[in-house]
Amino acid sequence: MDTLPRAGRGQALFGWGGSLLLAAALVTPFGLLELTDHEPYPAVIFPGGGQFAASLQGERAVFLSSTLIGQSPTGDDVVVDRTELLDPIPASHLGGIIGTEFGQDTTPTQTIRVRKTGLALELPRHVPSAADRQAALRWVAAQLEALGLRPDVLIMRTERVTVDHATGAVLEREVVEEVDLLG
Amino acid sequence: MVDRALSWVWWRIETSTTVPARSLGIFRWVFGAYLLVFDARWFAWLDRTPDAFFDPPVFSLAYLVGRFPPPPFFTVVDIVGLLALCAMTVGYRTRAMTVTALLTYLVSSTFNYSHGKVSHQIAIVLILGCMAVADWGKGSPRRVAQGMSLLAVSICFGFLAAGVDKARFWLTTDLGVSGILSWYYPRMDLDAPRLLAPFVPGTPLWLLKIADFSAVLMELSGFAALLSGRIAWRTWLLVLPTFHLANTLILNITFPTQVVGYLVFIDLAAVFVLKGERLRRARTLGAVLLIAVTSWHVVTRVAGGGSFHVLGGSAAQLVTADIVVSICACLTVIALVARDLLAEVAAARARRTTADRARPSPVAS
Repeated sequence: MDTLPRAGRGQALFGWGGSLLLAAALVTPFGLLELTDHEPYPAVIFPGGGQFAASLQGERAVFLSSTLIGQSPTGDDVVVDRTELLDPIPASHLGGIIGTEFGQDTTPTQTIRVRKTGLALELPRHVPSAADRQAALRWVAAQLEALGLRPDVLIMRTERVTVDHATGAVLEREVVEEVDLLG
Repeated sequence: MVDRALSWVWWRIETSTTVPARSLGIFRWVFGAYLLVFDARWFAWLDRTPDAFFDPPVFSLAYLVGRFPPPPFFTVVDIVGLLALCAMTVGYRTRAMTVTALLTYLVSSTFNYSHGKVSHQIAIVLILGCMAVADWGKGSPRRVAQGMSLLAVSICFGFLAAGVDKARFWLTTDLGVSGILSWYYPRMDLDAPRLLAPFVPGTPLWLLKIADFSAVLMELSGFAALLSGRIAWRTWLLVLPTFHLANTLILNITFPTQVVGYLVFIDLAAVFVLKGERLRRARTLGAVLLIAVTSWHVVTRVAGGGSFHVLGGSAAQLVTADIVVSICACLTVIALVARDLLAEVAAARARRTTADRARPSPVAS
């Protein structure tokens, strides 16, 4: 068989230095994430997503669901497709972008808390200029208009949804919060 | 003693991951062509994203830079990366082109993940980085073994990190919580369920609990499989695309690029058997097609558009195509890994038989 020659049984592929360096390169970013809840990049961490976002009450599943609501020119509420709204920005960035209030957040610092130590580091964060904030609002308005919606209305509606697990039928939707994202 | 333990660990990893040198050359064509056709790097859109959205992770290069680079930075990086990827695939200065493609991915991804959230798309970077070490089978045997071992260890660690996160929550016998349903319901409330997703409601909770445990076990067991030998490693590699296929069918979550990457660990030379003139013709045709695809990507980016898919279109338009590609990739990889596993089992049996014959027969007293 045209198998590669073995690199050698006598000599390890990586010595102590190389092995420790590799271990550090793999473990350090994971350790930072575990300790601070802030994920570094690059980091060899595949999607975990372990935390429960839904709970079961007997045969009923209960979870929170966030929907973007726009408004048609006639004033009707319209569910906005996240992918179409952000296009070409990947829809997976929506949560992060909403976290910065579509670029309107001017908080000058962010706090990195180290778990179980009580340590807290105050680090500067990027504060967008007034011109950049206006440009971001114009961008969102243009995206909404391209979808045939009013440029000044975008609401994030969070609902508590109850589903019958036996059938998948939605039993109840209760609005928990509505946030005006462009207000 | 400790040195011997270290040697043993790396020897086991090397044993599990060794493939013919020619196989890595074939994998370079398969992976490069897949990237250019279905997952072409497309970060040129970053030139049009509002600067106010810049919110990088604290532990990243982008945080140190402090803002998005001005246009047309990402369009240029895209073009350099695409050309490097194409050159790498067709075999022109493979190591240098692989490193170039890798650097463009790292730089672009750092800023891509500066929108307040880091995704976990690291597979391409890992594969390119480790294949730069191995030079796709053209490096010295030691370098090739190092590249393959690094990639295997990285993939095992990536899954381990994901498994540890899940294990904290999912490993409970409480039927009042379900990891899979925790992903399923919020997701399906936003997107129409496709394929097998509509059949999830009604699934007994104990069955979903078993699935939760199985997912965690699979993610945590990579290193054990890697150290156990070639058959165990290939068995684990067979479970991975099956897991991704289940995710695609049930949760409509796709990871096709990572799935194609698993092919690096199987003997592709036993499948792609073209030789001589036919091989030369196939290479020439492949190179012409990939240059055409790359040219199309470059032209669309220069024109201010672009897509990660050769068909073009936005992410919203390509949801169905992405799912189809994912299913095809998973099924193909499952078939190829299963074939490799069976060949490995047969080889192990043959070795045992040979050893039994060589053993002196007992002498009757």
